[in-house]
Amino acid sequence: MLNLLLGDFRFFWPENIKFFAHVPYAWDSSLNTGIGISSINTIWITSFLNLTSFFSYLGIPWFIINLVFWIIPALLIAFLGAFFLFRNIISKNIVYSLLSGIIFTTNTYFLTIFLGGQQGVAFAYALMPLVFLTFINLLRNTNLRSSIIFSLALSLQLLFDPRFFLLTLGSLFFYSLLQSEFFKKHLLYVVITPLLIVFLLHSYWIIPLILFKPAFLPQGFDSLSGLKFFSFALFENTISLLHPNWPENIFGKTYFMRPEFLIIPILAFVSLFFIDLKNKKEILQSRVILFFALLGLAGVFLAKGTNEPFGRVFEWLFENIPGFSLFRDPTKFYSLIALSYSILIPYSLFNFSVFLKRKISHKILIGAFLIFWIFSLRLIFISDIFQIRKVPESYVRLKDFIVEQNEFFRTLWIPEWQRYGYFSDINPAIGRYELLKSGSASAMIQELNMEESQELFSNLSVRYVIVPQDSEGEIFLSDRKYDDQKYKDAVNGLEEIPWLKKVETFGKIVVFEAPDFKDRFWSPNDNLQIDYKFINPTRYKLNIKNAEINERIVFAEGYDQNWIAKSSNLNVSSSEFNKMNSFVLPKTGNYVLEIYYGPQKWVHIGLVISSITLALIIMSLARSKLKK
Amino acid sequence: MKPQDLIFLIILLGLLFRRKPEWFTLVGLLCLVLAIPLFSAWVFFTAQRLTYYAAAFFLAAIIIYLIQNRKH
Repeated sequence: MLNLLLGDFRFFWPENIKFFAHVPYAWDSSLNTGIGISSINTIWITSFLNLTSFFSYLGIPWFIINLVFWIIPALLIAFLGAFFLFRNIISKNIVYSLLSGIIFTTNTYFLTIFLGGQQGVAFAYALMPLVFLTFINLLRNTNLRSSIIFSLALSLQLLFDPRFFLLTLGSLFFYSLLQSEFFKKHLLYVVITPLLIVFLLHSYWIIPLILFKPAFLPQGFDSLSGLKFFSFALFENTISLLHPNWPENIFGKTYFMRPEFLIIPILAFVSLFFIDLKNKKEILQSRVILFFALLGLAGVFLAKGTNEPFGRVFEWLFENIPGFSLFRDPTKFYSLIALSYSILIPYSLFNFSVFLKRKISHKILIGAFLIFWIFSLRLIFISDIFQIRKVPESYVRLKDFIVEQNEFFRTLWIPEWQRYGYFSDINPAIGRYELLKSGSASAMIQELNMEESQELFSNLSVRYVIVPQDSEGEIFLSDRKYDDQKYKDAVNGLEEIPWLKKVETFGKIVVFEAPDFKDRFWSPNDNLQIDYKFINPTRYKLNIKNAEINERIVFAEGYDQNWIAKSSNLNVSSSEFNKMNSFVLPKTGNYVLEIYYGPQKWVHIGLVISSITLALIIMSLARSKLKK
Repeated sequence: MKPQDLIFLIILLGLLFRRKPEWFTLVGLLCLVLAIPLFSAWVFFTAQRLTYYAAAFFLAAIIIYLIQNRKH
């Protein structure tokens, strides 16, 4: 079993990837949590995962799905998008267009997010030049077909990251203004049609989001202190298109400025020398260069966040512009710099060669640039950020141990869940700070030692408490290095908890059992008989016998008032019971209940709208192709 | 205000008087070129400021170009 070790990117087993091959769901039982949370505001981000997971039914392992549907497409789209954008707006010269693709695809920002496993962000970044290209095509040929193609590119980008979608829209707006074409063309095709299509295609998550208005941002996400903490990049980093965490990509670890990277902005802004507004033939191209230079400077200024100079400007934007808090991590603005420089640098080199009347040949100039570019990225070749790893045998055995039991229970990971730890909707893994808020294993063990802990975890169906084997050196750390003592302390601490019993050891993975754990549905009354069937994470069927009046059924998932119990003569919303859901039965007798998550109905309605829109778009494009 | 800032302002005012975008670009590039050895020698304060000035000169060049663009 192999895994591409890419930072944040997830690893799936053949046994659990199938749990995610479904239509988008408004409730997340196990992907990002062990106790269940609403996923209304993140449905978009998992849609592509849901789609690609279907290939697991063909027996394709996640490693291959990852490579074929995530890694290679993101690289290709980024490269080809920049290649064709340069070709389209600057020069047909293939060599310089290739250079544009290389700069956009191999700069330190893209490599950091890409190798850091932020595949959704990488995809959204990769789509930026393509969206620009389709927009420029729309401005040149303003018709329904171009409008639809632009809308599709924009919709695809929104699927991966709304922040990049907003950045691209903002950039396009200013591009239109600078080109003076925006108001001349029909608003219907340039603005109304694309926005309508984007809304319709994404209605499966936009409609529930509007109707149920969940807290869109996590608590504390819009705090100023958080923003200052995330402003890692300094001005000299941003102007040099140098990611502050390059090359190790260790969160929060920044480096001294590498002066050779200053050659990058020098090459980019040399382009301003070649602007010729007096020559009528050159004027359009000059405007394009001015736009990209301005876009680059805007990116440089914003990507540094609250750092000098004028750091207060970002703070003001953050506090006063609605939605700006989405850019709490200001490095997202690096994408504007990368897009800008991928146009400006090849343009500068091309014109420089022409300026020197080809005394220096293109080949020498480009060769020199490529040598410099490779030299600037040299640390990637000596660091270990890109690795293919074999999944440790101990995790294979743990997975088999859990899967073979074939019944519902949760696992609790101390101090946190490990990337190879098995989880599924049947066996969710708690260990992402959703329950125990302490940051260290010792503090967590103290929490477990508290009197009410045994009951809490029993109610939440926790059967096993697991200390992971830190095979990737990410969990038990002192000064960012693996510390075996911390691992031993965690194991020793759990051994002293009286209600836990050590039952299995797989390599360095230690498994403790909590003997008394409850099912997903249970009642404080032991006489009540509950049979349930898991349909999907948003729907269950229940058969209840011997209920008494005002009997409480506890549903051991994180509390959300939108969970509903329904039968022919009953419709009850969830009420909170120890942070879980519960339903009070009004009469004595037997019940056949359906428990469902309300917002999912709107996801289904939205999916119908999205599917019809997509079908109409395909038909419309096919028709216009046939006409041609 | 640091001496570096004073020099920057004097140069900026001088260039604004001439309003030649090429000159702004040239001075901006010179700032970046000067910053390279300073960063290498860990003279961070001046080097950092030079990168700020470079961006300011580029911005001024772009604005002047845009004004010229409107005239054309």
